[in-house]
Amino acid sequence: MVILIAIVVVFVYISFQTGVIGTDDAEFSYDNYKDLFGDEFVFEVLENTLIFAIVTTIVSLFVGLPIAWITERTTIRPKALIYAMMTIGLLVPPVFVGMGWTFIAHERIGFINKMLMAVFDLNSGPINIENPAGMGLIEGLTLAPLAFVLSVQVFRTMNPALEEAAQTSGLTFKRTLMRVTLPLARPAILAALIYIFVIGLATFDIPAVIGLSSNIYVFSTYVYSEAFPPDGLPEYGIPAALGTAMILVALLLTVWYVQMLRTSEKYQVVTGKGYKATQIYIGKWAPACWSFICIYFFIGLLLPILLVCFMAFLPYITPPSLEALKIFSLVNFEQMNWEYVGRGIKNTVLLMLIVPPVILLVAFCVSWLVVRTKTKARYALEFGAFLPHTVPKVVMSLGALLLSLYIVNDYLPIYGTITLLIVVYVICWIPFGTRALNSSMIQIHKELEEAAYTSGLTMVRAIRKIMLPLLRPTMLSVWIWTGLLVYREMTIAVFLISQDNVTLPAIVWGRWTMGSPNVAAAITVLMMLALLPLMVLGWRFARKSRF
Amino acid sequence: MADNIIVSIKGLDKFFDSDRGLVRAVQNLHLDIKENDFIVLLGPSGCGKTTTLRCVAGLERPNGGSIEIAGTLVDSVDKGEFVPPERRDIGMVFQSYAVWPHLNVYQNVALPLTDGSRRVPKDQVTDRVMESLRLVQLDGLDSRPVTDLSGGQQQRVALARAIVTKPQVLLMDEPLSNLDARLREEMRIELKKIATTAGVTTLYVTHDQGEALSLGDQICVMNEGKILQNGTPEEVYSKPPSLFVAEFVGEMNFIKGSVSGVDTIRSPLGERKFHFDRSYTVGENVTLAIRPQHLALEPLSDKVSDNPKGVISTKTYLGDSVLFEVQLSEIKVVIRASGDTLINEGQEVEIILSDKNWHIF
Repeated sequence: MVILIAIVVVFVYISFQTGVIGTDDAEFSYDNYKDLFGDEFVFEVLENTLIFAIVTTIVSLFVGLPIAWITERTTIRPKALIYAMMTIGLLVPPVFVGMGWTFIAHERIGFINKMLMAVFDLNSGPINIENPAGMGLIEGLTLAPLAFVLSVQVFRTMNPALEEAAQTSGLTFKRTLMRVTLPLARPAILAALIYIFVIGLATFDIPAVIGLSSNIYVFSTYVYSEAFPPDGLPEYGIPAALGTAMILVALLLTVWYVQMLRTSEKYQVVTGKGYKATQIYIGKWAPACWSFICIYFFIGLLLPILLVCFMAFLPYITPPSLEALKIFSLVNFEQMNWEYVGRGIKNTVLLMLIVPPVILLVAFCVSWLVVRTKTKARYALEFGAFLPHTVPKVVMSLGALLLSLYIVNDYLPIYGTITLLIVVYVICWIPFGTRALNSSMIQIHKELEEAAYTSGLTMVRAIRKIMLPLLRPTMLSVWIWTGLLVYREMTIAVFLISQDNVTLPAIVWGRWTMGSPNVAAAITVLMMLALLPLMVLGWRFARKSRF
Repeated sequence: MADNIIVSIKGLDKFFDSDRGLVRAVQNLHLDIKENDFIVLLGPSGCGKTTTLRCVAGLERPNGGSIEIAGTLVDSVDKGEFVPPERRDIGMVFQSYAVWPHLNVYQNVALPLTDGSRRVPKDQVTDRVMESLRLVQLDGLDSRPVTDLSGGQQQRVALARAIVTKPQVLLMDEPLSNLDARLREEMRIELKKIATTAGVTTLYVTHDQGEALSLGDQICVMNEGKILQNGTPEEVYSKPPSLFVAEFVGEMNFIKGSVSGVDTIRSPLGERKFHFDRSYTVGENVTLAIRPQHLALEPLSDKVSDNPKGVISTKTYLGDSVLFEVQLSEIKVVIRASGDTLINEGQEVEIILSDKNWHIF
């Protein structure tokens, strides 16, 4: 937490500096902010970001929300399959989907465009995803499972008596849905909307994979391109100023989000004791519902991933066809720089082993203090644990980069080491851990713990014998999920890697930007193969019911 | 005398910070509990009864006063003494049962013995657990997961777990309130039996007067953080010292009146003589109170009497008895009569008043 504040402070500090950082030229000024708001290009970036975030939010909710409702509130079967599909959707790194979609619908190389160009004799492809709205569409598709997860909770925990009361008052199904169910779900849906919008504002991977090569910039990619210019000196001041503004925006939205969440919690059933939400008989609508889900699954996940797999076995980009099969080869795998990739694997594995337990330890302590004690500090702790959520990853990464490079490098040389990555990853996902642990700790009745005390157990023993076993399913699922998140994390890695601490996603990114998309695809295939067993594991624990 | 007092609470104070400012949950409360007594704290919600219990358990820290359990000082604000709950010689049954869902019946009951501060040698654990389970009649279910049990059975597990360490004092926080009515009656009788068999001093919290009257050797009626009356069930029922206790325990008719002479009170029942247990000044406003079963009815006859007359407005048949609501000129009174009465709704009646059983507040 202290580190996080340090990062933010450094970031804000740098935003008020002009000249080369770390030299005597650097001085305090508002110039960066003046430049920022005087720059037309920045306004274009902001406009792009806004369009991107809005499209992302709409698309993800448009897909995720109906699927959530169908899954929770109708008799559709098998529900486990829908959960499995959505979980896969959550786990597949958005980068892969972005790459896949580039192969599909890129203006020049996308195979759909090539097909259409050939059929209709066009000079350029009619479909173009290299614009903010197009990228937003793809991002929205990758975030749909998140929208699903956020809204499934709402429909599941809603007090069924409220709807039953509407029905016994003579409201039809449609009226109940419109007048009771949706108004009750509204705060929670709005909260999900804000949550996804904040992600949309700050997200890096898809705009980077699709937009950078065509010079379409959004906030995050703009910061990246300023900080890592292909030529010339990196410019930190202006991105820092923009980032500072972004933190403020995100902070405001987060405050709003928390308020919405509070409102929505009022409507939830507190105890899950012996109640079951009534389910609507789906009947003849089943095929329509399944089509909707499957079409989403196909275009949102399956198709792009298939394309990536396909490209992995081709020496250059070719539209899928029988002829393309003839040039199928393992050349991408054979000519890979295995020494480099091996280092990436080693680092990634190391991160996956170290980061989750550290997060769990910190998150458990924070959650326990927040949920179970009455110390005044718990508000500060809760806020502190939530803070990383409001700081865009790009900002955090750049802040960490500057902090490690210019401020503490002399006595704590952690730049370019795996330690730096570990620290930033842990900070980044602590909110994830505390949120999961908070909610399941609240579910564990306080009297269970008190019963342990009055039975003569000390606090340490009560935690070990009662709390930990009861929390085990949650702890395990947090463990696995953070492991998977670490595995797929690209943004932070891209900002903070050097030769030694490179990770697999960062290698994919490197190959992609250096113009060898097929090699990138090949590494992606390797990553997905390794992901399979982990996904099965993650899925099993995600489904494990709590007490 | 001091040697058989198990729990001694002296000048207990407990405050809470709330949205409405400082709430004084318990105020200067004194209570001594003798060995093997079954003491019930009775009162409406928010009266401080649960807070008192939780202070004894050590789950709340008092803001003032002291508590001794079996001669050991466990709380003393003046001396800065506080013994955490796990080192107090207590057992506690919670309102929500609080059986640990990840352990089976046996493990739930055994945990205090294997991991608590009152551990016993390993070879005795099974015997003690089985003895405890037998007492609550759960022997044979020891390997069942607790989540498979019914509410009543979970309650028994909680009870077995609380008494397995043979504590000096057993604390129960509304243990029956989560059970359905019939089961509650059963468990009430059972609880008393178990507590007596186990020979454990018990402090029991409830808002249900029926439970209190049937369970307690002593009942403490509480309101606003204070004990209003501490007495046997008979005392509490027949000699309520205040209007609140009279109202809270059992059914009662209240009739407002004013003192009109040395031994007379004027009320909607007319001017009548009463036994005054203290002196009143003429003109003082008083409330007359009498239980429904201490009033009687007769169909209106031609005889001339000064008995108040009224009309039956409702008749509630309860099987063994009947509750009549009688509309008098200005007031309504409730009268309990035996179930075989022939008086019906709408009938004109006169009320037979006796001199006895009146309370004057």
